[in-house]
Amino acid sequence: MKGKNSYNVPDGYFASLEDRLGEIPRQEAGSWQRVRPYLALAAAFAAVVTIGTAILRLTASPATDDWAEDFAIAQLQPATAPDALFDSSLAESLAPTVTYDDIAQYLIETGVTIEELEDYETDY
Amino acid sequence: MTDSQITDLLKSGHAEEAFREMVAAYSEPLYWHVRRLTNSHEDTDDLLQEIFVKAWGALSSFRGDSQIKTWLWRIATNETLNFLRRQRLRAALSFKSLDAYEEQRIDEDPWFNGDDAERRLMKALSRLPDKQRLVFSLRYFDEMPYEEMSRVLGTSVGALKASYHIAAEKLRLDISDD
Repeated sequence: MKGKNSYNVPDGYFASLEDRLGEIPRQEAGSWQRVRPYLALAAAFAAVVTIGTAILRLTASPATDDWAEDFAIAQLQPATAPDALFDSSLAESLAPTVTYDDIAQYLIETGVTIEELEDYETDY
Repeated sequence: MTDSQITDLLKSGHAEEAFREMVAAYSEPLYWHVRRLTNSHEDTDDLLQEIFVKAWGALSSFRGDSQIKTWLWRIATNETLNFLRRQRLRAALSFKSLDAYEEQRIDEDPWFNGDDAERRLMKALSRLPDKQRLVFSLRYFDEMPYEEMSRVLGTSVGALKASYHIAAEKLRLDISDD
């Protein structure tokens, strides 16, 4: 006994099998098309999260040890000496050091015109 | 169309056409090969779908260093062995011995039209370890040369010949015990 003698198949089975299997390339292309938008969304989301995290890390101002130490010491000062809670050197270090040259440079770079400045002066 | 013509079609960028030629040439022979291992027309039909889906997915990486038939039979072998493993698990979950489970499938197969001797042979075949079953089926039913079988299964010709003779001896003893 050899070959396929021990089995029957439904009538027309092999013809329909060939047709069904022949559809696989089209079916597989369709399923890929359905999944692709979701993959693109997921990739975009991952990119936003990665870039956003990188930007946040790069722009975060580093904490100074001095500030932490000053704060810790300030916490130890008695409440009856409130002035001692505030370190004048700390206040000075935090004060803006922007000069008029800095302001002028900023205005030039952002494209603010003389007319707009005049309007600002009269309005405010 | 021959294997080399299908390979040429593939290399010239006509993947879909090559795939359809592969289906036309091999869907029926592959059906019979898988059928003798699954003992079920419906499972064979499902498996063939999986095999050809895998083949389509892997077609872009087919380099033509083997024959199309060898490459396809290799995919079919892996899928069929996975199926047989799932069978074993299914039998264990239904608290049946695998032998009893397989015998029941053969007895209840509405498409089996063999005589009693053939039924006993298929039952004895189902009791062999998966690899021996595969080797015996490829050699005895499909008459595949050992050299080709070696390329399909990745096993030496000597090991395959030994496996076949052990399988044949086990079948002979099993059937004569019935």
